[in-house]
Amino acid sequence: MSRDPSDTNAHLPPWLRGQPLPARPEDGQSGSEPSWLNDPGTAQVNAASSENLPSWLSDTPAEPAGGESLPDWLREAPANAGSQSIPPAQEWASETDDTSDDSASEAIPDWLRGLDDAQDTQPAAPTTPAAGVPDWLLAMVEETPAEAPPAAPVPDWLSETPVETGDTTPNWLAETPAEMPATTSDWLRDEPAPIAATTPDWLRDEPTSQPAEVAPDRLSDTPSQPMAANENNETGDIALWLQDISTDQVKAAMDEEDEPLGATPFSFDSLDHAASASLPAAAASGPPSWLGSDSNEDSSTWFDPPPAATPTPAPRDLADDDAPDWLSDTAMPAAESSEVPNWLDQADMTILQPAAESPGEANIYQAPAEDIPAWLRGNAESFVPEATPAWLDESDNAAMQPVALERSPDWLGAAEPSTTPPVALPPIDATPDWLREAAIEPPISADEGLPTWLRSDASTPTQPAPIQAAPVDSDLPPWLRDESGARLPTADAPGEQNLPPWLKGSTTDTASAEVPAATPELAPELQPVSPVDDWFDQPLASNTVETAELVESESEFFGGTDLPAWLRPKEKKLADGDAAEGRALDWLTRLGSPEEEDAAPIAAPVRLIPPQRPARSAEQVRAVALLEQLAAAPMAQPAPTDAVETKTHRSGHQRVLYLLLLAALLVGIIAPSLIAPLEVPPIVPGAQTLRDQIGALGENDVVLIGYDWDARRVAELRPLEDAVIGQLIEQKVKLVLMSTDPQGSLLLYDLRDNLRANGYAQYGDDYILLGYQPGGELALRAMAQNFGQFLSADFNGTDVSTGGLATGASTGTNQPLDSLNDFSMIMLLADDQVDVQSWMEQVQRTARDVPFSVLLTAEAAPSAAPYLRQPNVFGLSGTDGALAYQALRGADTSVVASSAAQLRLGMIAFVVLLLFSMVVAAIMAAVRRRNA
Amino acid sequence: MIPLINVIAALLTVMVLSRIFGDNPFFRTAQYIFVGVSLGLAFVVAYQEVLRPAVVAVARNPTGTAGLLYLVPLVVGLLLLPRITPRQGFSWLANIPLALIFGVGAALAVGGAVAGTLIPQIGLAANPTGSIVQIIGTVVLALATIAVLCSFYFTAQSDGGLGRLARSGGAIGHWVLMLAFGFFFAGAVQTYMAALTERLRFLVGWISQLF
Repeated sequence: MSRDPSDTNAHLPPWLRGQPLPARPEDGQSGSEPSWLNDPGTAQVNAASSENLPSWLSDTPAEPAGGESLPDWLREAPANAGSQSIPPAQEWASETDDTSDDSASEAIPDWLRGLDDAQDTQPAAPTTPAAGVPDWLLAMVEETPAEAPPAAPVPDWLSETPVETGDTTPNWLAETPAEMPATTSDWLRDEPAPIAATTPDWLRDEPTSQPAEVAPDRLSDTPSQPMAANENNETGDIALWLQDISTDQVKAAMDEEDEPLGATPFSFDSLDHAASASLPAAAASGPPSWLGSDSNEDSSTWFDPPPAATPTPAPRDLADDDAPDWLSDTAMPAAESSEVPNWLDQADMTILQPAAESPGEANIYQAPAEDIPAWLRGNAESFVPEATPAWLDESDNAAMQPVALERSPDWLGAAEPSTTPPVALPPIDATPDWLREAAIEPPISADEGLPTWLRSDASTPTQPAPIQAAPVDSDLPPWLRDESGARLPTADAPGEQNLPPWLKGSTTDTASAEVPAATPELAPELQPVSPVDDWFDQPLASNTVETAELVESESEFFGGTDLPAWLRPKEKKLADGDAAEGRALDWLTRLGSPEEEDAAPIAAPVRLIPPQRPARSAEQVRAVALLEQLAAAPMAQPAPTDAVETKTHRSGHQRVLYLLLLAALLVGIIAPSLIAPLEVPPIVPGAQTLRDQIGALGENDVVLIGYDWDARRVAELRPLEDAVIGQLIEQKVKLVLMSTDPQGSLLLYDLRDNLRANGYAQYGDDYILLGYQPGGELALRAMAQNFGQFLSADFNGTDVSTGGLATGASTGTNQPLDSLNDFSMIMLLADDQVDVQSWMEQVQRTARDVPFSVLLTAEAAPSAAPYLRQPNVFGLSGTDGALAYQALRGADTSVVASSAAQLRLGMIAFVVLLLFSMVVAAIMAAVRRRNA
Repeated sequence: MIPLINVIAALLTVMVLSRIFGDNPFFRTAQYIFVGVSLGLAFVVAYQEVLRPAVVAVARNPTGTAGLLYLVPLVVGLLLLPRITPRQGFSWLANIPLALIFGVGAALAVGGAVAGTLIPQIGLAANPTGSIVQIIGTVVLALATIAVLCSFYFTAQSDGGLGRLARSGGAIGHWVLMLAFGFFFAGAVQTYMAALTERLRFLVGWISQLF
């Protein structure tokens, strides 16, 4: 919305700027302000005040008090109008806070400040500049001339203010400071029930019966700070800066103002009583009442009405003389009282009732023409009033227009875009200058789907700030000018000198106390009927403690939601220098948000940047891939095919070698003639010595024979057994047989049969079979130490110690076998080197003088060779030793030679195959290397 | 009866020789039979020649000398039984007989090695008798022994004279070891070749008896 800078009505509300207004009264004393601004009854009686207030300040459906005297355009105000026209007071309030650098008084309209100039008397002004007295009140006393010049531009109907009072300030404004403490912006805190009609869904879902719940958080927040502090304050509902004013003075002033209107005089007694009774927690300081919840039931005490409430008559029943008193009583020469400015009503209806409303409600728009004053009738039809005052529609974005705030209040300057299409503008000459601007301002209908108090949010940022350049002085009504026509201090740029202390930063001492508190719960009978318009309406009973809790919970509920920007509370951190003003304006900024929330503002959502994933190196990637592969196939995989082929080839080669060797041996066995050159009896050096030793034994000798061999070596030891032991058996040598190997004991059994076959008839006399002796080396050691103990039990457990052999009776020597030295020879048949070592270490060293002969395999011969070099140690090993021994004994030489030839053939075949294999392997390796 | 035993022996021999063509069930069967028969024989021998005579001796005269003598090894043998159970409360009792066995075994081994191997061998080497060949052989045996010991002297200084000597002696000892291993291998080959020849003669003889 654009505004003409040259517009002289910039000081007026936008919804009045473009309207033709009646001629301004010449009497500047009494007619400098409209009568509805001088309504004294608003300070005390809502019913009366409602009569004197325009419809946009009255609460028509919800508060029928005073309805009898209300005009139709006041009574027909829809109940839900207030909800639709909830002014974005918080926006403009926050805007004020945003522009707090300028002054807190920026929020106060200039045209209201100028009211002070026209006052002849100041009822509420203290005689001395007390701390609680606002400057603008003091200024009224000091600067108001005794004879105010007539303000010609002021319309007559606005100059109907009682002359005798000389009060150029509306009474209801004059009373405002006194009532300010108890008046909080309830209309800002609580949403009326019908707000759901145009509010967003998230607000509409809430039950309409609980206004506090449907209200946005920032609207429903209830100030609670000074509540308790002022609970016991008798003047808890009076601002500090007014508490110094004596009650008598105020009474006197009120009486003077009330008489002409015939309203019930204001009584501070009742006010105090009501405040102390029902408003214990009312803040002693707070915003001015004109900013507070005028229509709320628990609004300030200056709205405390008498409980009498009259039902609102039907609008059709109202005659033209039902015009508000402040219109009818005032001396309006150009307009009759019946000619209530219907454009005011229509303006409200137009804005508060969208086109989509029901027809019944739409009828309200069709105000009777007779309600329109004559000076407005011509314009009423074509006038499209502003939906709501601009100062209510000011959005947060209005903070971008700080200069405008200085020139004129935003809540006056920001015009509300109309939801209805623009119509023909009324003639400029038919409307007062201060109303023209509103008429020529094109309405903005871009956001028709949004409530009016939201539509300005979108439109305001794109709007310039024409108020900045508006010539203020020329636009000011006479009651805002001095004698010379210059701007009064109160009409000038806002300054703290004209501000009440609660808007100043100077009174920092009482700043905390001046912060508006939550409106205490009022008794139902004390709840005032809203004398203001719907957009001042507030949900009833929204200031109760329960409601406050609901509001608190609601605030918490919506605190976690992602509210749109226009619903987020302003959290502007004031500078240190502006702390005082900031605190004073907190109630405007957050509208009574709890102190806790002040300390913990809603933090903007912070987008956490996810940490960057560390990059993996190629080596790590390979390691991960290997790990995944191992996890997928933990079992070992078979070797590659080539390895198998290699093994196969190797096995094939081995098989060939084995077969060649086998074939060679078989040829030697099957065809001995082929290996005839190899048939030579073997010659073993130790065989002859052993034969000599054995040949020296006879029937009286006892030989200890150890069988420590097993069947694996039967191919070598059996020939040795047959050759050596055969000679012993042949010579009838007494034998004591034992073994430390289980299989050796089994072979002893075979020897037992051979003994029986060769004449060893009596067991115990010719031979003793001790059998298996467990313990290995230990048994040998035990045997070497006490051989006679071994004879206590043979292989059957029979004690053979008493036998002929053990006692030596069978040998004829009568020498018992008590030790190893009693034997003629110790003979060992061993298949490995360990057995030989054990016998040599445990047995032979005990009986070194006894010949010790060892029959062992060729495999164990190299290891036993050192022992065979010892004296009385004789050894014979392998097949060759057996064949050599047999040959010495006179065995068949051909057999021995044939057997020796076969053995040699096998050795030769093995060596040849070994060498051949080595050559082949070398050649293959060379070829492989060459190919490689 | 003998022919049956020879048939069994021939079959088992063939089954063992089938190993030439790789691992096969016949070879494994013969192998398992051999292991089983060996263990069975050992159990029979231990029961028949160890446990049974001792029990019989104690039973005949529990209060006699045999009974008292067998009581000590019986108690010591019972102390090994706690190792059967996994419970650790009484397993320490098995440490007593085990310590006795290992202690006595180590003492026998050390005593027997010193008295039965080292002293006689050193004596023989230090007092060579016989021909000059034997004397040379004894000297060679002594030097070869030193060379083999040098080959296991891994901590010798490489730059000193002793180190160079140890390194040179180690190289000689290495070849001495190779010769000794070759000698052992030849003895093993002779043993196994004799066994193979004996088995083949058995097979040829058994087969010749069949026809």
